[in-house]
Amino acid sequence: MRYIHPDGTEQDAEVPAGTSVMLGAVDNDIDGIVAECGGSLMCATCHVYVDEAFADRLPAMSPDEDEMLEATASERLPTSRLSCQIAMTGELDGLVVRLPELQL
Amino acid sequence: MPDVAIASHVSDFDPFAVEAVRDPQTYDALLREQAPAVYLERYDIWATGRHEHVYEAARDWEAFSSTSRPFHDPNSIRPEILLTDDPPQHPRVRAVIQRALSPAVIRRMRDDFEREAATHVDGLLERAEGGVVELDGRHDIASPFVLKVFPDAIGLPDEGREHLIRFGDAAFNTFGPPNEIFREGLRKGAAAIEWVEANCKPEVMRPGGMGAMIYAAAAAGEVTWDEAELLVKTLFSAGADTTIFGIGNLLQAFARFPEQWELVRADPSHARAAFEEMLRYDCPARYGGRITTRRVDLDGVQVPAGARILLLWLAAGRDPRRWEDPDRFDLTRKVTGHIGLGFGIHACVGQALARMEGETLFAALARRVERIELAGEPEAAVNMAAHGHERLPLRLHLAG
Repeated sequence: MRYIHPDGTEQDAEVPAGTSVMLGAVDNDIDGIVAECGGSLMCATCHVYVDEAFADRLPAMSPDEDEMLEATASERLPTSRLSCQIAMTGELDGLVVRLPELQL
Repeated sequence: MPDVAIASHVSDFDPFAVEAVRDPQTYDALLREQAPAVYLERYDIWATGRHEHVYEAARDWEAFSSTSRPFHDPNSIRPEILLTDDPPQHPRVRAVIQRALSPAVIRRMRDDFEREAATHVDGLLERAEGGVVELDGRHDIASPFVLKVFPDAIGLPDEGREHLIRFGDAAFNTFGPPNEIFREGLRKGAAAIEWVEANCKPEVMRPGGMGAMIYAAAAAGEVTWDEAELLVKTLFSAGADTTIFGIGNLLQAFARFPEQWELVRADPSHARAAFEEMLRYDCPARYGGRITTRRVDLDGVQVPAGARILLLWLAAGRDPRRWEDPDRFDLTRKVTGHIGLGFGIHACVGQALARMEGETLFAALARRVERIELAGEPEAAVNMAAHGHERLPLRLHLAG
């Protein structure tokens, strides 16, 4: 899958099925995803904008995630998700996410 | 000694003796290194201090239920809610307190916290002579700040706030066996428990505060009034001692690693990363507890169903299997995935608030304090589940 930084820099990473997009970034030393709470759905600092091409393949958003997305440091857009809530699957192979300017 | 080899995961050690309670970094590490999970025969409970297993136990709430834990007494003074619930009960009540403590709510408090932190630090440094001031990290630096901003955020009156500390102390000791430490906490906390009963009611809460938000959820029928009161008491029991101890532990870390304070001096925004690294390096919450619902295999150690088990957060933060050079405090470390605030559905619900308190206080200190030194031997607080200082003598050198 691919992480695109706000300045346009692209970083590709192998993220195994079952691992979240958040952990994929952490494990591959990709900056721009802070993930203070480590994936407990408590902090809104692993915010990403998911490429629209993948929108209908993503797991459904829980009410908790929806509420937490109201607290993102960068603007919430229709493509906004918390990357700790997106586990990689075969269907999401090649996923592209854009990182926001700010997480805090 | 064949019996030792057969039962290498069995221990007669007492992690709740005063000596161990005063120095859990040493003693919990011994438990962590003895085996993936250790059976503490004197209490008929288990403990694990390895990051991998503590993390997994926190994540897997079905195998590791919160409905009981070591020494659980449903009639204790600790509010019997949240930490004693599993889904589906848990998300319903958790949502209410989580909303009151959400990052969006906390962000709106930033200006207030920054102002209070600057005022507090200015006040402390007024006592300086010749550019140096000696004071206590817990009683002078941490407590007054937390007892200002935290009860303000709840919406409590100004009178009697110091009772929150004794209440928290007594509540945290209920996570341990009913020994002399436990009884002493209750004795010292008696007046605080009375104060809490009187001051947790809806009519006490100032409008706009977290307490009022929680009671509004009761008025809306999301939780019962009794549940709302237990949630407010949870704020009271869990929000003061922990943050005060965390701030003290971080002050001590800066005294031991002065080059790390240099980094925060150079850029006060590093205060947030420093607070986060403290949560790995020396977190105030020593352990949590669960009960297994089925037999679990922790790296070859078979923990039976129905076992009460301690999850040693503190020991996991120094697990060399997970952290490189774990005894070194390093705010530049990638610390994501630490479990100093727990993890999963029972992760600390006040974590955004705690981070804001830590960040704003240490950023304010960094703007005015050049160096933090120990001015004497720190004295550990005697609490079975909360790890911090009774006294922390410090010498602060003012920036020129």
